[in-house]
Amino acid sequence: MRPGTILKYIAASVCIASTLAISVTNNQEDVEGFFNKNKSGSGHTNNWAVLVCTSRFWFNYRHIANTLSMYRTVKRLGIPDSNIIMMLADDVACNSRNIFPATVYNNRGRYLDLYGENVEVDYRGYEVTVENFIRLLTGRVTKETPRSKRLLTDDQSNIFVYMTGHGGEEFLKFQDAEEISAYDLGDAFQQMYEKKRYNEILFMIDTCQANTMYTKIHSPNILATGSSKLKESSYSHHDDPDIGVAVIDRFTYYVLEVLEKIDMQSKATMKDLFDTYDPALLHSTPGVRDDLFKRPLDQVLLTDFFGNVQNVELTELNDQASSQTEIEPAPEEAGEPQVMEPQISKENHSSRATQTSRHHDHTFEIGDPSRSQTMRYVAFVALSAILGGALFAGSSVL
Amino acid sequence: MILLSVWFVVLLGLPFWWKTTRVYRAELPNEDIEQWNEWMTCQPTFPITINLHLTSSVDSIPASTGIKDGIEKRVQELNANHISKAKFPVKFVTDQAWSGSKEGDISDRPSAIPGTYDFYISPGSDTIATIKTHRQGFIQVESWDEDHIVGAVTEIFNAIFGTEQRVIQQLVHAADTRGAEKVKDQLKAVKYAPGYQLTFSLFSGDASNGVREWKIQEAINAYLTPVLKSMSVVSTFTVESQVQHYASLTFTPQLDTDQKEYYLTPNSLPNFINAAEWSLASTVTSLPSLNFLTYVPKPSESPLVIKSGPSSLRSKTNSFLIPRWGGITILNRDNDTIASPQVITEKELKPLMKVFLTQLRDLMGLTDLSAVKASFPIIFHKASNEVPTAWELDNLLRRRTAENLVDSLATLTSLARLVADTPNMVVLDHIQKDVVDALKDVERSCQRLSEQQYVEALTASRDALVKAETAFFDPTMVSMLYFPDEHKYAIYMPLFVPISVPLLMAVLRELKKHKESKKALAEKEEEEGDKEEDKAKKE
Repeated sequence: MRPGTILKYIAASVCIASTLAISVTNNQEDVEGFFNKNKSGSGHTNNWAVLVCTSRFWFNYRHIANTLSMYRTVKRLGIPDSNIIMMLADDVACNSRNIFPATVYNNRGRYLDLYGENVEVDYRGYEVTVENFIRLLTGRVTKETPRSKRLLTDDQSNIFVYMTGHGGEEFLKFQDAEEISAYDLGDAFQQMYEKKRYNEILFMIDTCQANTMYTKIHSPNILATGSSKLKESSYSHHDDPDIGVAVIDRFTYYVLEVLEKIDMQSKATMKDLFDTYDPALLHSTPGVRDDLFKRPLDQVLLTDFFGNVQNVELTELNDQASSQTEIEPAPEEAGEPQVMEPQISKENHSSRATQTSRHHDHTFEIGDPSRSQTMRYVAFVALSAILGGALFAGSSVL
Repeated sequence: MILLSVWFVVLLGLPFWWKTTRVYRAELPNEDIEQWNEWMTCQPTFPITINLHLTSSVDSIPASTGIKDGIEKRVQELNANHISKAKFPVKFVTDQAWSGSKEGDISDRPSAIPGTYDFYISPGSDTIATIKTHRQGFIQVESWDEDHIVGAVTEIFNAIFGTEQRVIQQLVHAADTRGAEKVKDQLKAVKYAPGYQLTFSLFSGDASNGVREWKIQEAINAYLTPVLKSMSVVSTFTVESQVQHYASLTFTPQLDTDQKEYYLTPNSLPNFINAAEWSLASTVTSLPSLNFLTYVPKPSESPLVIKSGPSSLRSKTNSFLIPRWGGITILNRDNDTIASPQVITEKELKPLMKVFLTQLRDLMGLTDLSAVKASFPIIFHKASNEVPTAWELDNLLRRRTAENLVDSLATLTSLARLVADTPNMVVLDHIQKDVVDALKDVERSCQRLSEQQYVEALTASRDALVKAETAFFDPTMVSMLYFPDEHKYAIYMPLFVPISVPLLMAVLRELKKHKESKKALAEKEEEEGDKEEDKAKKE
C-alpha cells in the first residue's frame, strides 16, 4: 500500500469518526440530515445505463467497441448488469472478417478483450430499432418483454444514456435503415419526465454533428454532452492493422481515458471530465448542455452517473434511530444556466497536421447542406411543375 | 366529359384520403381528470373513530359529553393548519363505560375494523399510556378530572396519528401544487406495488470457510411468514433464495491489528456489492424486488466487521440498508466453536432474520410508532418477530391509499397532457376505457375512504393505479411521434403536383374556351355556335 493511500484512509477514518460522533449526540438531526442531504444532492438511490450502438456492418467495428468500452466502465464502477441496457446493432465479435474471433478490442495494443466472458447484450442485431429504443425509454414495451429488456427506473434513478453511430443534423441513423430525430429523443425524455421515470439523466453522444441531437431536449434535470457541433464530423481515434478497421472513436477514447482513472470512491466531478475536452485532440468541438440541469457541474460526481454509489444506512436494532453515512457532498444553489462550447484554439491546426493516424469521417447527410431547406422545396415544386407541364403538353399534342 | 369524370374521381377520392390518413384519437375525459386534480368530485377523507371507555369503578365520573367536546375541540385545533384538501374527521364515542380497571380485563375484545380504536381510561398514580398491538389503548390518568383526560387523550392521539396525517397532507398537497417535492420517508421505502419479490441470498467468500448450505426455508417459515401474512392486506409477496460461492469483494477490507479483525468503514459500504460478479437480479418476475443478502467472509478476511476506524465501536448488527434496494448482513462464523460449520442453522439465522425484518419494515414504509415523544410515557407493545401491529398496518393502509390515489391521478394527468401535446399520437378506444375505469376506481376508493373502509379503499386505489399505468404504458401509444410537415410535402408532392398541374390547366382552358364560345355565340349567333360546341365536346 502506498503511503499516499494510507494517508487518504486515515483522513477518511477521521472524517467518519467525527461524523459518527455527531450522529451519536444528535440522532434525530442526523436522520433529517441524511434525507436533506439526499434532497439537495443528487437524490438518487439507483443507477441505470442505456448504451446504444446504432450501426451495423464490419467497418463500424469502432462503434461497437465504443459501446462495449462504456459497458465495461459502468460495470466496473458498480452498475449491475440488471441495470444496464445494452443495444448493439451488430455482432462484430462473431463476424467472419474478425481474425480474432469472439473478441472485440478498443485498442491497437489489444490489451483488453471487451467482449470477455461476461457480457450481457440486451438488444442485438435487428432488435436495435428506433421504435424499440423509444419503447425502452418510455416504458411502453409489450407485455411479454422480459425484465432484462425493460428500463425499470423510478423517480430516484440516475440514468446514463450513451449513443454512438452515424448521425447528421438532428438525427442519428439506426441500422442504415431508419433514423431517430432530436425531436423524438426530446419527446421520449419528456415522457419519462411526465411519468417520473428518472431523477437525473446524463446524455452522451458520439457521432457527427452530435451536439445537434440534444438541442431539442426540453425536460428538466438532463445534462447532455456530444462530440461535435453542427456541420462538424467526429473522427475515429486509431485503427488496428490486423483487424483492418478503426477500433475506437476519438471522443469516446478521451472520455474513457478520464473514466479509467476513477474508481467507485472517486470524487471526480463532471466538470473535471468536461474540462479535459480538448478540441485539438478530438478534432471536433465537443459540447455540453447544462441549462436544464439544476446542480452545478463541479458538484456532480462522475459516479453519480457512471457508478452505482448510494447512500447506505447502518441498521440498528432496539428502536434507536440509525446512524448513516453520506456519500454525496451537498451542493449549493445551482449557478447560471449556460451552454459551454469549448472553442478550437489556433494550435489545433498544427496538431491536426502532425496527426498520423487514419481518420474515418462518419458524416452522413442527404443532399447539399449549404443549400437551405426552402430552396430545396422551391426546386422540387419547379421540377414538378415542369414535369407536369411536359405531361400536359404531351397529352394535348396527342 | 373526360375532364369531368377525372375530376369526379379525384373529388370522390378526397374524403377517403382524408379518412384513411387521419390519426385516430379517442376522446379522453380531460375535464374529469382536471376536476379530480382539484379534488372537486370527492375529497380524500381519512376518518377515525375512537371509542372512549371511562372506567365505572370510580364513583365520580366526569361528564362524558364534556370530555368528548373538549377532545374534539382540541383535535380540531391540531388540524387547523391544513395545507391540502385531505380531511381527517375524528369521531369520539363515549357511550360505553367499562367496569374493569386493569388492562387484562378487556384485551379479548379488540376492534376488528381498521380505523376504529378503543381507549380505556382509568385513574392512577401517574399518567401513563399503553398501546396494545391490536386496536386498544389503556390510559391511566393521574388526576381524574376532565382537563387531564382531555389533555392525555389529545396528546396520545397526536402521537399516534400526527405524523401520519402530516405525511398524507404533504402527499396530497404535493399533488395539488404539482410539485415534484419528495416526501421524506418515501426515499427509503419502495414505491407501492401490488406485489413484491423478496430474494434472500447467501454469498460465501470462498469455499474454505466451509459453508455449504443454510436453513433459510425454515427460517423464512418461522420468522418471515407471519409478517408477510399480516402485510398481505397491503401487498403480496413471493420469496426466493439463492446461494453463491466464491463471491469475492471488489476491495480488500482493512485490518485492525489490535483487535485482530478486518473492518469496513461506512464509507466503503456503498461499494460492498460486487455488481459485476454477484448475480442478484431476478429474471423470473417483473415485480419490484427487494434483496436481503447474507455475506460470509472468507477465513482470510474474517472476522469482518463494520466500524468507522480501528478504535471505534463496531456496528452491533453488522448490517446496513440500501434505500429501495434491500439489506445486507455480514455473518461471521467461528468454525472452531460452531457445531456444524457446513450448515448455517435456523438458530444462527434468527438474529439475521430479525435484522432483515427491521429492514423490510423500513423498506415497506411502516412507521415505527415507538419513536414518538410525549410529555408522559407511552408504551407501545410490540408483536413478536416484528409483525406489524394493527396501528402500524392501519397507518400503512391509509398512507398507501393516499399515495396510490395521488399517483394514479398524476399518471392520468400526465397522459392527458401528453396526448394534448402530441397531435400525431394515436389514442385507441381501449386507452379511453382504461382511463375512464381508472377514474371510476379512484372515485370508488375515495368513497370507501370516507366510509372508513380502508381495506376496500386500498384495493380500489390499487386497481386505479394499475389501470392508469396500463393506459399510460400502452404499447400502441408509440408511433413515430415526430412526423414533420416537410416529410408530408415530400411524400405527397411527387404524386399530387404532376397530377394537379394538367388537371388545373385543363379546367382553366375549358373555362376560357367556354367564355370564348359564349362570346362567339353572342356575336355570331346560332350556326357558328353549334360547330364550336361540337368541337369542344370532341376534345
